Amino acid sequence: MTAGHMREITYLQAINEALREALAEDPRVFLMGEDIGQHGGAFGVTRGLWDAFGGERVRDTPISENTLAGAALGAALTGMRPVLEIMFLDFSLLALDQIFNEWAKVRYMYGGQCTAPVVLRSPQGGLSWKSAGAHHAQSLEALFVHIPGLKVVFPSTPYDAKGLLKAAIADDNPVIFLEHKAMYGDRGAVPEEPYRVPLGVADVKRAGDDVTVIAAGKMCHFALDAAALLAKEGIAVEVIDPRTLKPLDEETIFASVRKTHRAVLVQEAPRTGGVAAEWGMRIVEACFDWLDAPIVRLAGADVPIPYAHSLEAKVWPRSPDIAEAIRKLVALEI
Amino acid sequence: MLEITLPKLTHDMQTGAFVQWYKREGDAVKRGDALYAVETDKATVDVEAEAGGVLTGVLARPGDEIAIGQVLAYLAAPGETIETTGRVPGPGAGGRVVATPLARRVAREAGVDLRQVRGSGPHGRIVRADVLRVRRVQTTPAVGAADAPGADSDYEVVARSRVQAQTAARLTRMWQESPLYILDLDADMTEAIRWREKTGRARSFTTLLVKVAAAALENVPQVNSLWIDGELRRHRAVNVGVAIATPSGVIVPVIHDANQLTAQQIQARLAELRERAGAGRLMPSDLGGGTFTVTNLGMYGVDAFAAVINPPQVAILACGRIVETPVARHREVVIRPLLRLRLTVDHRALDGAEAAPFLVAVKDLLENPYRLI
Repeated sequence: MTAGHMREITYLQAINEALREALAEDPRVFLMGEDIGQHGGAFGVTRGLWDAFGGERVRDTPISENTLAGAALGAALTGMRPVLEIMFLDFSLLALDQIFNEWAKVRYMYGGQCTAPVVLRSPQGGLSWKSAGAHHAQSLEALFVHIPGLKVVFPSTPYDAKGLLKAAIADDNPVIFLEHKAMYGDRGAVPEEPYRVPLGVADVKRAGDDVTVIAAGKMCHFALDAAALLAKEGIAVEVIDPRTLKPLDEETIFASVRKTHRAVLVQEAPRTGGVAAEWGMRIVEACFDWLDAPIVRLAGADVPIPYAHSLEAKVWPRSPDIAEAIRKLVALEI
Repeated sequence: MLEITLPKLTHDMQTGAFVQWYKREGDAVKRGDALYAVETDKATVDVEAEAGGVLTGVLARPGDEIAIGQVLAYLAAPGETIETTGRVPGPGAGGRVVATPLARRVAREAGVDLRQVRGSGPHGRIVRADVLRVRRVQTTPAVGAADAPGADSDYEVVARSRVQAQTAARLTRMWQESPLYILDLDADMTEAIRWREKTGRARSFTTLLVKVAAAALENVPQVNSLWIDGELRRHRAVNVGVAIATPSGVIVPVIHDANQLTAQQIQARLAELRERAGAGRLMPSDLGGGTFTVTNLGMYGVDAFAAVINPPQVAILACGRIVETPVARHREVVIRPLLRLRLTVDHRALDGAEAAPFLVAVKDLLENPYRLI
């Protein structure tokens, strides 16, 4: 991957390092969000940054998401590079007017006379150490992917998280940077030297010839677990992590499907209207004559996330579900 | 809702031909009722219902080739419907070919007729591996490949393209129906060879044959006929077909109004047809309307051969290579380049006295090409 010294750090530490590097490298970069300063953020992502860079550059804000989004854009338009944390992505819905109608459109509507280098960082998803319920565990990437003018990133490893956040902050367009809250403690190798992972480039997390699985975020790990299990059964699964949900790296996906002739799409979000539907349709449009089986989709149930742990456990696909779907596909039962 | 599937009725049984249902969709069925008849490799047998219910979602139709375990229909509890269980009749119901997009593409490229392929997927869906199994003889199977033919078999079934299958059917019918006879005549090709050298070999002998045959057909028009439904239809247009070998079989593109074209035009048209045939891009109009066919295996080293008539035409002219042959001329033996012309004729349409002048006209024109060119 990258030359230089690698060490194991967590997904959370990787994001923290990316913010620290960006603050140090560029005086235009500043952070804003609820409790991100002295407290270090609800999940501790910004811990230590207030001490290092001060309250001017790591700004605590009131609880007023739409105002925060508007202020962040205003700062971006006047030459700053703000990184806004929304404590839970579920709360970003209060700021969608600013994000959808202003962030996404301002550069276009002013004919390119301004840029909008603003990043929204926010945790989404469930599957964390405690049940978070209907208002704290949603996966809302499809909302943002739908809006022209926004880029959407969803890393699944510490390495990708750090490199993609550095690229997102350097980008002159609004980027929605989605963090999976159940992965903050996941460890992985990350170089000490600064690096970026370009937006819009997928990663083949595991190579295989029999079936392509596309999954982002936590689902990518479940797909990899399923692939490891199936390898013992003689089924070679290729796992692709799009990493950037928009713009989507179609070429990597298409090349894989043209090789394996089968696709399994996994998303944590509810089934209806999700990114997996978009992936599947693009595969049909570009790879129809290469498909040797129906495309299979695994997704969250179309329900609000239950608080009861026993019910929550049934909402999302897990690695045994993915493995079973692949077995059936390869055995020509689907 | 119970699935009614085809049981294994004899030891060797793999499939059965569905004969008929004894119950209709919606009929109440009791356990033990005779439900349907199926023809096995041994006999036609009646199969009884193993449970009671309402016959629903009928998939099997008379004449269907059905694999063991394939769903024929469902037995529903009273009030239960296909809709309530979410079951729908299989996509193959009604004889439609069900194949994955990839299987369709592979079959198209390999010239495999999907109707001849048994699908191994759900509801008999054809997947790529099924097509490759049929096509396997056309490619060298990789050692140990999943699609390689069974090593225990001492022969392999050679896949036939649709063109080859149709050619076989048409020519078999022609051979069975038609009383054929054959006329032979040698043409001295001295002048023809000289003519070809003068063109710098830019013209082929096939071009000359088409040109000559077209002129002879004009002179002896009874050969320029089709035999259809017992009628002899003499055609006004002279449309000469030329047999061309392609990877997917012999095809006969047609040079329309060949009697009105120059050798140069015929040569150009032949080149165009060959190119399109090689690319598999012939149009229906390139293949239709032929009133006579010439076929030339000279380039394959054959001295002479008898061709089978391309129905509904009534004759076909076949020739092999030009052979240096000792012949008597003016009481002396000389060496001459001879081409054996062999005309196969359908006696229903033409008798020998009608066909012979045509072959003589072809010979005369080949021996004196400057009359034409």
